[in-house]
Amino acid sequence: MHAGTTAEIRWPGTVCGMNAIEVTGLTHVYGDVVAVDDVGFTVAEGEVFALLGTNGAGKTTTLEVVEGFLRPAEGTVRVLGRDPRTERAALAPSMGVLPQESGLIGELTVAETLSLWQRLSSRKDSPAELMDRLALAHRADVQAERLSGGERRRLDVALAVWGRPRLVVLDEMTAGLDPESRQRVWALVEDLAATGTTVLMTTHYLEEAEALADRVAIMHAGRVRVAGTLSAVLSSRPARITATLPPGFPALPAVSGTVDLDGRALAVETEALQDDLHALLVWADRHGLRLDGLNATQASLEEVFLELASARMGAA
Amino acid sequence: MLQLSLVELRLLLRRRITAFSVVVVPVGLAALVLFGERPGSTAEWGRLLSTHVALLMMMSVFLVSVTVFTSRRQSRVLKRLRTTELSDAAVLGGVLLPVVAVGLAQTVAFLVFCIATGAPAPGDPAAVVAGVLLSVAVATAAGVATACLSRSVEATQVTGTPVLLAAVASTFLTSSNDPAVAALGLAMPIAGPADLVARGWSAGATVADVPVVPLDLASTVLWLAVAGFVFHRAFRWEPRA
Repeated sequence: MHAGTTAEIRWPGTVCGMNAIEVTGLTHVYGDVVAVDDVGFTVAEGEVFALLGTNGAGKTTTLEVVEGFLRPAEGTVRVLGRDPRTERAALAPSMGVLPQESGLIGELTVAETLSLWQRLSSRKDSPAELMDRLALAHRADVQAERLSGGERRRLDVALAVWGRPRLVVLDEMTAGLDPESRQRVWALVEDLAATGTTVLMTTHYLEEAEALADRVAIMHAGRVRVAGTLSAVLSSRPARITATLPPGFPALPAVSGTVDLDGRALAVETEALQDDLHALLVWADRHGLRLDGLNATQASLEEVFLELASARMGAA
Repeated sequence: MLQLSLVELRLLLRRRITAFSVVVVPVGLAALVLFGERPGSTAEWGRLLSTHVALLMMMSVFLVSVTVFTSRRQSRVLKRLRTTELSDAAVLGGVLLPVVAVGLAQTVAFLVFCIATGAPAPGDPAAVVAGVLLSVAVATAAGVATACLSRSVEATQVTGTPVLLAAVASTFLTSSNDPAVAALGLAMPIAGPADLVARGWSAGATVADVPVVPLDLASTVLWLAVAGFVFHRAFRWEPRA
């Protein structure tokens, strides 16, 4: 995971500790549907922040407000100290955006597309280097409409990160990419973050958030349900100990977690992983038992995510 | 904006159908003038040439702007361009400017050809220039407004047809000897600017069936206002569902 701090930021004029993005009480409504409901979060300069959530959770709407393309019904949004809605022109030179849907000019080749961006941007970059880094050099003369889905997405990413903007907003940047392409994009984002670029991203790939993000927020039904550093989010959910007990096992020791015993299959959900694991191991040692398949794991981001998603389904 | 326009111009001419129409439409109209019945008076020349200018504008500027604008919106290009440092106006202008430039170039080439092959020079060039520029404005505005109401490029064949037919009808109606019919024709899209071209060509020559300039301008303003209203109400940066 990128461990960038404000001390590492190299952008000129950056104020240490300043938030690149501040969202407070954000609400957005489409007709009768409340897409985003009282959402608030901050993203520090140089931080990689991931918004997670099921489809329709409100991630893209939130991003479009941050980008200045949607006017919030309620709440305030500040991006690099500015109102993105009314000061989008002033923000544009500092901001790269990757929309969820591509929007490439299909008739232009890869090289022509990058050349156009070069002429439309005040930021400087090397089309050749970007094509090389995103494995597009051999497709330089191919029209965007003839690229594969993964190649198009990589070209999309190249345009969003053109000139190493101070802030990059990436909406599902690796959707549809194969593992190798995903690694290339991750490396690019890590490189950006290492040089102080602030990254606000959404993703459906939890391992992507785990690999790149300093902090995450999980949205569903238009609200941020959980937010914080990955370790804080994960520690907010119980850890799990599983094992297969030997036949005729004696009475289990007292543990603080919830014990689920299905025949010889033991599962303990606990918020005191170390204590409960220690109690089980002492118990097994005292009785000379072997605990087959013993596994003790912190809750994964996927479990947190699925728990929220299932809660939503239940509510529905 | 100019950078985007240059790319769009290149793409416009790269498309075979568009490139074909860019050449064929003015050449076809020029051939009609060259080999058709030659007008007898300056006023008749003005009426004929203004009709052709109106057709040229609708075929080149209106139809192409409807297609290009709809296509760029439906493929999310407009939205993507908004993520660049271009202003919203520059994005729209950058996409439309090549269409306007090509339409103007076609018109100038067509009129120069006609004069070179025997048409009288316009009596009031300023009025002709004003008429041509207003024609471009109305054709472009009508194109954008029509694109705002079109869900796809295919749908533009339906949404664009009424406007095109009304414009074509105006060329017949404004030539009527019945003042009421001529006035009705003047109420059609692009009829006002075209009539200004005709009046400019004849330089005030008395033609009983040509309505007065204020009506030309009123018709022009009306259609620009209608297009502006539609744009204000129906414009979307993203594809229409």
